[in-house]
Amino acid sequence: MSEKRTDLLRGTLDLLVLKALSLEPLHGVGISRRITQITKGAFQVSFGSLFPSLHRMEERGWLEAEWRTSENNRRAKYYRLTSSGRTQLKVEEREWNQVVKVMAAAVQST
Amino acid sequence: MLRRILSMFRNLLRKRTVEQALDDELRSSVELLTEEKMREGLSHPEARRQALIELGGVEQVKEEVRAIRAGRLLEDLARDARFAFRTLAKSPGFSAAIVISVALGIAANATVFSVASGLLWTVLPVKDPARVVTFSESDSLSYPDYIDYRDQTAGVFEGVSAHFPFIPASLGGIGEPERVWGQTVSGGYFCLLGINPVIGRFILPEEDQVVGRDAVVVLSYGLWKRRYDTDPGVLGRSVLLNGQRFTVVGVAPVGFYGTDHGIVPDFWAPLAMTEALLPDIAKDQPRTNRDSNWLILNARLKPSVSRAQAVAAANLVKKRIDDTYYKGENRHRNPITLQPAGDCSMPLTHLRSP
Repeated sequence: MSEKRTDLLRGTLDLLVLKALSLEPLHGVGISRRITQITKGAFQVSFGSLFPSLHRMEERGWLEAEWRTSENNRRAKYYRLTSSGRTQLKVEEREWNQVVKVMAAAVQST
Repeated sequence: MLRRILSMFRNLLRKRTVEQALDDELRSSVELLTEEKMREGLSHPEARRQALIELGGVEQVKEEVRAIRAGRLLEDLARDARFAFRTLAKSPGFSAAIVISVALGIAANATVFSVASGLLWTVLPVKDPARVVTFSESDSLSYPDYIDYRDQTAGVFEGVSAHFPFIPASLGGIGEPERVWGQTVSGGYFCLLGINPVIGRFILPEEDQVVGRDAVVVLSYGLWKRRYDTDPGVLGRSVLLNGQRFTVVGVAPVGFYGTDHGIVPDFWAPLAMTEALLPDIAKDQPRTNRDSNWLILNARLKPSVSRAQAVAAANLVKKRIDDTYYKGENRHRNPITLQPAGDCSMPLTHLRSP
């Protein structure tokens, strides 16, 4: 896979993770499920992609994590958006809309 | 910046804890997935089996995260180096570069800067130290400039050398990788200093002729003792510096820390290997760009030459360069001065950007 394609996919995943966490904190499995939900079943994120992505975003300061007990009394690592994470979500949404506009025009032109 | 330094600390110093935390998270994820599948009607063993499949193999996920972390470390190393390089190259003064390197040193296991600089050595431990000088405390110079000074001052200097003082590197190959700091030096650097290696040899002039060709390295005594237990078998062995293979050709003498006061390098490699160790630097065209001032120059005075004569000769070359390439503008604020190498006259309290 070319480097550019990997970057594009990584960016898309970041945006989906940020969006998934915009309402409430979730653990890794929950994030994966939420992404499938908000993409109406189109994207099933592999954990091999998700965990490195979560790790990277945590390093960047967009996410904060803490261990909590889940609904069923299980210990899990919950992620939540930091304030810079919320800003990043807005930035990425804006950029994504821009990309969509540009690509639509480019693809439609003769 | 602070967050990145703290995160690097966490990664470097508490690698085991981060691994453990990841382990815990993956184990917890398997349990959550198992539970989910049991709610869908599967038996416990079947649910667990499918959970493990869906997780995609714990080792694999750990590898991916490790790769991200290693990638980030090298990314950060490169970014730090580029930052240090650009800071030096903009020549706001060597003192500012030292302050920067302290800030970077905080983020690494090994720091290149020794706060006890005044105590490391008062006299540079080389042959006839009074005859060895450093060009201009306040300006570093470019590679084309170095060539001109080297070639046009035969009347006053026995030799002129150039080195880049801050190479952050990940040292690997035998044993755990560790963060070290080194320098790249021109082919004549060690000859100019007239010192003898403890074992092996130093870098030869021929090994600095072609960019990227001769991946040889000289270790500091400190590194040789600390990491290799003064094993002479290290000679001829291959080590990895920033992922590049280098052959160890020698070890520097005890108490030799290069020619810059306050800096404690762990290794020396040929100047021609700078781009291999710090790939991002190539973008600045460091070999041809007269405005990329990344080098510190040293020289050895000829026996009958006074420092005043040498300063005059050096400034003639400077004027020639300014006239030829810069229409006579005085490119660097200050004329070339020649300090005795390792001169203590710049006290630590003098650290301010000019």
